[in-house]
Amino acid sequence: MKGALAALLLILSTTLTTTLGTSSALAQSIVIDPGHGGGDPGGTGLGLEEKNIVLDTSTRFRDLLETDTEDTTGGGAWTTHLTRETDEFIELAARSAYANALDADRFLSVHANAFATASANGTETFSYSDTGTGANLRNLIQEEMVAAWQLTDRGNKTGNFSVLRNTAMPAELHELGFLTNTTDAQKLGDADERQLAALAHLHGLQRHYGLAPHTPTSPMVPPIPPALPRPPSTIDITVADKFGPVANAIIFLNGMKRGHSDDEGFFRIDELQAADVLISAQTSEHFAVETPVQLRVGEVALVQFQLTAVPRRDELDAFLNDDAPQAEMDSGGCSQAGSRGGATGGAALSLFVFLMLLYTRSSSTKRNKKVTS
Amino acid sequence: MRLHLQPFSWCILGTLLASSLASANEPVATEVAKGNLVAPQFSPDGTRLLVTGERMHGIAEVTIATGDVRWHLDEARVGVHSHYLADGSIGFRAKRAGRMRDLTRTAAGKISESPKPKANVFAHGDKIYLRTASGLEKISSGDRFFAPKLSPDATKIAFTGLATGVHVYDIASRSQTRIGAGTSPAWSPDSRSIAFERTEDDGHNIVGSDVWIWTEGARATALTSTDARIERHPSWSPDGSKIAFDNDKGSIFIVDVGDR
Repeated sequence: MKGALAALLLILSTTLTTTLGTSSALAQSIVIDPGHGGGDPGGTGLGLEEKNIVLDTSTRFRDLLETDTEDTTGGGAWTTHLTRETDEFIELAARSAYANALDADRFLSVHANAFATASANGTETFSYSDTGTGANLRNLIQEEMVAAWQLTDRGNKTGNFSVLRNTAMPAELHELGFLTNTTDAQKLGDADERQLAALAHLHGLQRHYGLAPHTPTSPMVPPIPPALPRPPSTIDITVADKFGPVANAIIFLNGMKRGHSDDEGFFRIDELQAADVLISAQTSEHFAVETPVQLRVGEVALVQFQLTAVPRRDELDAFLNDDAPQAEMDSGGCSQAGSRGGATGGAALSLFVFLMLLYTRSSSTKRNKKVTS
Repeated sequence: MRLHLQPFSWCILGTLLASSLASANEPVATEVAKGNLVAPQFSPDGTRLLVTGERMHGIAEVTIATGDVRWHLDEARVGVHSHYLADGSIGFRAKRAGRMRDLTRTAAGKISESPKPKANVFAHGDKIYLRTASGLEKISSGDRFFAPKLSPDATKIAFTGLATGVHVYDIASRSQTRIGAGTSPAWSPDSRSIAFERTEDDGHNIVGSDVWIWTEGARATALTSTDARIERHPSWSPDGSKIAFDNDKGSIFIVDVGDR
């Protein structure tokens, strides 16, 4: 009997050790989602843009998670991912697909509110369901944020937001405060307050995992000698079409406009850090082109773009007639009417119709069939 | 004020009207099942669809001919990596004993751990890697990439960039082509085309989505263009003649791809 009891205790002890060992040793994969970005500023108010506020708060939260992982005196171990690290537009579908592909453990989205009425104020947090692990995460983030910023507690809510509905892991979406309210905006616009908000998120996450709230400090490390200067890198770009060099082509680096090619079709981007980048060029008369460049330290990378001209009038007509059957009758009529004014007028009219089609398609919430990417 | 339109203006209005009616010409999609169903995938014999539920919860099969839905697993997250194997059994990933494991469910309902396949293509640290005879090759640059999918003939890789959308990498020529904005790329059986979703959102909700098709040597074109339906998560039938998708509201549709 004693032997059996001893064996049972040994099994229980081994099981307990294994369980605790697993939970403390495995880093939790956390996706932080700064809302909006790029051409989508989100809410705006009192000189603040949501996309900037939430990106700054999210990167501070990420940094705290990394410091917490290094800090062995408390807290947890985390692997962190941001859905965006710069001011860029990321589709909602991509944000949730990214988190799902990573098999992330938790998804925390950071937003800020804005409203037409300046009196609207306070902090609130959403989850998809009112029960379960996601709701627990939501409740603790809300609790910590209300304690940290002392804003009006708008409560724990459910929301059918895309990132809550399309992520597979427990998820929450937090609205820090109202950009359009004077009291809230003072918090949102203050870097020290945003650091407190990031810390509140960390404490909420730690409590969610059953850990005591812990404010991490960087471990003592020997001073790092100053890094040797890294020689900057350069990209030399030449733009041409079948007639020769193309002047005034707009050059983009990672989607950001950097300048125009000169009369010889040349443009240089220098003082760059080594990185993988995307270079693109476009003019109003040519199709846009794009190429990835692996930029090494101190290297001068050469990029040669050969542009293709946009279609002429006859090609435009072919496009209109062949690709949009419903538009065939109308656009054909327009072309004929325009042709009465002469060839130049007809070409201008076709181009105008073509541009109007592009405009209506790009401004519509839905694209029409046969629009090419 | 009286509105006076010149013939020129009527032309423009007519063109815009025609443009808005273009969706009337798209192929008709048939609803085959409904009820919290997401991300359909055709079975190898083309008679069933593997689906998951909202938030990738659970795994079910739809019998296409009857629309019957049979749920096999009621478990969070199992739908993320679920897929059919060649013999019709279902592969999926789920947490067991503290870690994610690759599992297989046979047609008889038996679940077992399957040996983790050594992937020739995988994502790590937001980059896509290809395993070749000479070692690992990083094949992506310019964005943070995820979810690589090898074409059926193993000559190309489709993957998604967070900011730049869908890309294709040709293994032989080592060239990367950006298809354009979009997510959820799915290879056609002949490895020549990719179906993908192109969504539009307002920063909180997806307000529109269409299925687009890219074919090698051509530019991507929209297969669907309805305003009323949000077409998502496309996948091809084994013979390449049909595409299944969901409508972001729990219903599953099938559309003939036609002579593409």
